[in-house]
Amino acid sequence: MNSASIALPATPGARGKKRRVWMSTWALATLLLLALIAGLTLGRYLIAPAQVLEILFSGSAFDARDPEAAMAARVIESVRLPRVLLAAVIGAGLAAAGAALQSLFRNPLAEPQLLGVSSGAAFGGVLAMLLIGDGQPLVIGALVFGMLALAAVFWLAGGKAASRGSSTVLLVLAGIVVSGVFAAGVSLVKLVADPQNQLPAIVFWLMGSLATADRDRLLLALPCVGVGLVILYGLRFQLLALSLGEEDARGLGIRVGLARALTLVAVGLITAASVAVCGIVGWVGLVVPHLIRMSFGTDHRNFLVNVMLGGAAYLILVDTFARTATAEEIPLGVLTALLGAPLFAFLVRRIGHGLER
Amino acid sequence: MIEMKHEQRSPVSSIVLAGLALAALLASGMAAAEKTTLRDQMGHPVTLPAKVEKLVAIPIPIASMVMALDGSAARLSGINSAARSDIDEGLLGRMFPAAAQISTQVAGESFAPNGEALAAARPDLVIQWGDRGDAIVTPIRKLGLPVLTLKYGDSQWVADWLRITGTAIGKGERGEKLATWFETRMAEAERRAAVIPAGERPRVLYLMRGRSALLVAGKNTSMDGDIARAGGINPASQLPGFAPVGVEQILAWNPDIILLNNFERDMSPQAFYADGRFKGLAAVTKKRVYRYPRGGFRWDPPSQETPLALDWLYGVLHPDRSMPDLRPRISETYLMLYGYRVSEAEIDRILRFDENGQSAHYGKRFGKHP
Repeated sequence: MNSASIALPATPGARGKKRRVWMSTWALATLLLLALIAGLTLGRYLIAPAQVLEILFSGSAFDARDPEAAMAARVIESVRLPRVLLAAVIGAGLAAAGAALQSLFRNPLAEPQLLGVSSGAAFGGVLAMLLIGDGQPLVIGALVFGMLALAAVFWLAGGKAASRGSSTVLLVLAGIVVSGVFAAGVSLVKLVADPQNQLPAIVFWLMGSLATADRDRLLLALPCVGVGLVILYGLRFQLLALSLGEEDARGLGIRVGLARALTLVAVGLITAASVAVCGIVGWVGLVVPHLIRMSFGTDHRNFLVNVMLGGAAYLILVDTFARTATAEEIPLGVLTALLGAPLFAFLVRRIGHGLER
Repeated sequence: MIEMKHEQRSPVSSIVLAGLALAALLASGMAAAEKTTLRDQMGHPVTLPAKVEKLVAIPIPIASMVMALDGSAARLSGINSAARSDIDEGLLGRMFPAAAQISTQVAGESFAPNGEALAAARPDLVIQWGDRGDAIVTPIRKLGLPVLTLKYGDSQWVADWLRITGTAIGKGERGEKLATWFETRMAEAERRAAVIPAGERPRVLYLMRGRSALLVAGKNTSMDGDIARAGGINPASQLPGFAPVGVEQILAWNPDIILLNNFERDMSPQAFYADGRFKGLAAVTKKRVYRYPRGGFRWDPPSQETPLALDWLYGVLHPDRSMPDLRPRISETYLMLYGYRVSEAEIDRILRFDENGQSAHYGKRFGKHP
């Protein structure tokens, strides 16, 4: 699709600015590359950067007689690489989901947790942990209940009428209701869980962490988040138009109901998959889109791509810090909140009314 | 001595009795006071009722400890729900079938007492952890129930648990006997480990969690102390308490031996050997991953069975050093603690031969020798 051919009123479509617009994307791509390199070279198991590159580019062709080299290769291939890639996938997904919801609801404070999908997924996960066990059942339970929560939100907001209707308030209210019910469900499960066997596992999972990242989890998250991202990318113009207001969007010939329904499905998929593989990691969907918006603006041609790149780089860096700073692993959800909230507060103070855009 | 009756007394007689008690205390000093008050492990003086017929034990190990002191489960009217798995899955339920009837509603998440259920259990005394904040102790005191508090941290403290709990339930002599036995065996373990040169001490990691998260035992955990007491080195001993770590950190430590907990249901050495991320780890290539045994109580946290756990740990850590056969020791100890004769098949179950049997040296070290 030739993106430059569609001109929206909000964006200065001047041809001369094209190169400058895409410069931000190149910068963010470079940042992501640097984050990837940092994520792969840093870790508690010390491996020289040169050796890391050697392992990455030589595949599994290491000298099997040298246990040191074999171990280093395994650390990179089955521990660090899946974890860094999972962080990138989840970071890109959550950031894009946040940006999409902010456009959809025309509310700068919207984020994936708002829809109740996180709570639903959390409930599904802890229920699976209670009844069956962690591992695969947890992931499937979280996915199923995350999507159930989304369906409940749709239904509560009036089903088809909501996707056609004009009130986003209804959706937000439905999200709060669904979120509340599932949060209570999580508390209930915690209450009946075996305090020694299950409860600590539940608490730790809910805190959010990529510590259990492996190939299986990556392969599970990748298609869900991938599909969600493709949908959102396809909707990037509609989303930007929606952020101007529904009437304006309709005036531009956008089928508001369809765009909204598709956005919610994409956000639901991304959120449920991310909760399933790494628990509740908050603030990414809020901090990253705003950082991008404030540094590079919201040009329709690359805003969403920028958000995805930024989100991936952001979560890789935060997770690398979480697992490298101390021998003890800092839960990722704690760190994103600890880092995200003050960062967000700083931005709000600094930009002030700029947020209203 | 003043005769204390269990039925309700009028306020006047209570005051008179209290006055008499005070007078007796002042008159005869500590000798009289020892009969009715006891200093618990946190240093609080606790006034004991004349007879503790019903006892609620909220700390998990105290359930089986009371049965060991008493030779029966009759006195317990409430225990921690986590102690249920020792009754249902461990040997405790076979040794004391009546234990299955004890209420497990008295405490919930994080040892928080459940006021209503606690009142319904009508205990004469409640035993609770004292080192986890007042929030879990005060509600019991507010119910007007005497509370005896204990602290967690080092296996050595079990001797005091035995003494204090024994005295509280009127089995002071039995408590003292078990405590002395416990201390003798702990000292024996320490002497045995002390002669091991630094170069021959394996690096041993205990995993409190291995599935949903990786949680290792660090400073101020009983497992850290026990590893040292069995002549091992805990590479995580600098971390505070039970600390979450990443896979990479474990690979960086590269422990010689990994000990698995008794708290996660689907935990086994096999699952560990099959996990690709841990391939190449010394403990995995040499097949030295073991799950802690479980008898009347699980052997990883401190309890009256800790001396056996230390023998087992020594056997696992130093397969080439001689030690007395563990199996007869288990029989003797269970007879002494619980008055129960374990069968050979039960010993196999205690030692978890089904899970540990494939690991290095296990059959040779702990198997039945004809």
